[in-house]
Amino acid sequence: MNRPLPMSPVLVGLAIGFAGCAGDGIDFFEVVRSRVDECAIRSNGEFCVEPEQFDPPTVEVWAVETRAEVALLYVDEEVWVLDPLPGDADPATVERTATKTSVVIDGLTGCRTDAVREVGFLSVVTRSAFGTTGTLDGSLSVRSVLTGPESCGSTPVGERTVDVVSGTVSGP
Amino acid sequence: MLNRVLHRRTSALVCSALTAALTGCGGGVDVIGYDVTIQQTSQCTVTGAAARNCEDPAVLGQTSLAARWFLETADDGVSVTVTTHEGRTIPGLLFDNNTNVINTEGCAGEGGRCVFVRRRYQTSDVNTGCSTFGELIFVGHFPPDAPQRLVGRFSDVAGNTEECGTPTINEVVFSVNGAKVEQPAQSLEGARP
Repeated sequence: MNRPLPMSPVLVGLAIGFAGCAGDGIDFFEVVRSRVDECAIRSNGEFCVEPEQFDPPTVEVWAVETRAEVALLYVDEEVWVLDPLPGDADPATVERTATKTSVVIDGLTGCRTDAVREVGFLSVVTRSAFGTTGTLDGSLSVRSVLTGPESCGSTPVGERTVDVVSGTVSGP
Repeated sequence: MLNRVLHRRTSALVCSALTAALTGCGGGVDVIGYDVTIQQTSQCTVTGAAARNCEDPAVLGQTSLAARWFLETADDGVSVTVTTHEGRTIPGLLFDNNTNVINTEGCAGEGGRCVFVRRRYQTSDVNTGCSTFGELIFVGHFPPDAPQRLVGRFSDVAGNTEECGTPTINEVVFSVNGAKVEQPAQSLEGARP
């Protein structure tokens, strides 16, 4: 015989359902991205560009998506899979990080190019009846270096850049 | 008494599932990482009225790139988005490798699953009429005897019209050979150049 659902299990169920979603969702941030470091890597050292020669800052939309199993960062159309937070860390106080690496090997010359891009940021979001507020502050670094035998030229040779980003919650 | 307890627990679980469904929570999208080795198999360019000019495949094959791709699969078992190591995202489909969807190299009915993703783009300058265009296509399959592997062909075509100067089309084709990784986040492996 079908019986109507008792009220208490309904409330428990709703509570479990919503609790399971705690923190899930997407937060959009409008950030300003500014270059703070731009250097050429040469065999005899690093040669950095004067700050006056940096490209001007740009405004971008970043989005942080939190799911049950994974957290993602969207920068323009690019997706970054964020490193899991350690243990019961509070995402409001622990920096989120992600890395992308690639290695190009030329079997003919033996030249090898290692590239690594790293992003790290801290986002603090507060939700209330009046809306959602929050900030995102972090950096994005890129480093690419070619190494190899003499046939590759004078190595290492490459470049590295560091950008800082800072912004606040915005609409999608 | 036991029946009542079971009924209450079942009711709570049903409500949880309903809540998750109604709120859109509870996942539904899976992110899978693949460590891929990519090699160029051809690179050809057509510039203006000149003949098609291609690089020597033997030389191209000497260079390989190792990086990570991501597949985001939806719980409908069909929708998928591939994110390349350069951060380019390409939407498409997952399907059984039985020639019903496509019948091409690697996905010609050998069994297992296949993935097909494609993205076209075009931008035009309304003042000059100059248009740039391109198309990214990846066709890959998960071999039935090694479902943790992803093997396929990635092509990247880009060009511009004569209003931009000299019309040019460049096509690069890569072979992709990947292996599923336990954890999609790359930093955990401590790989640093």
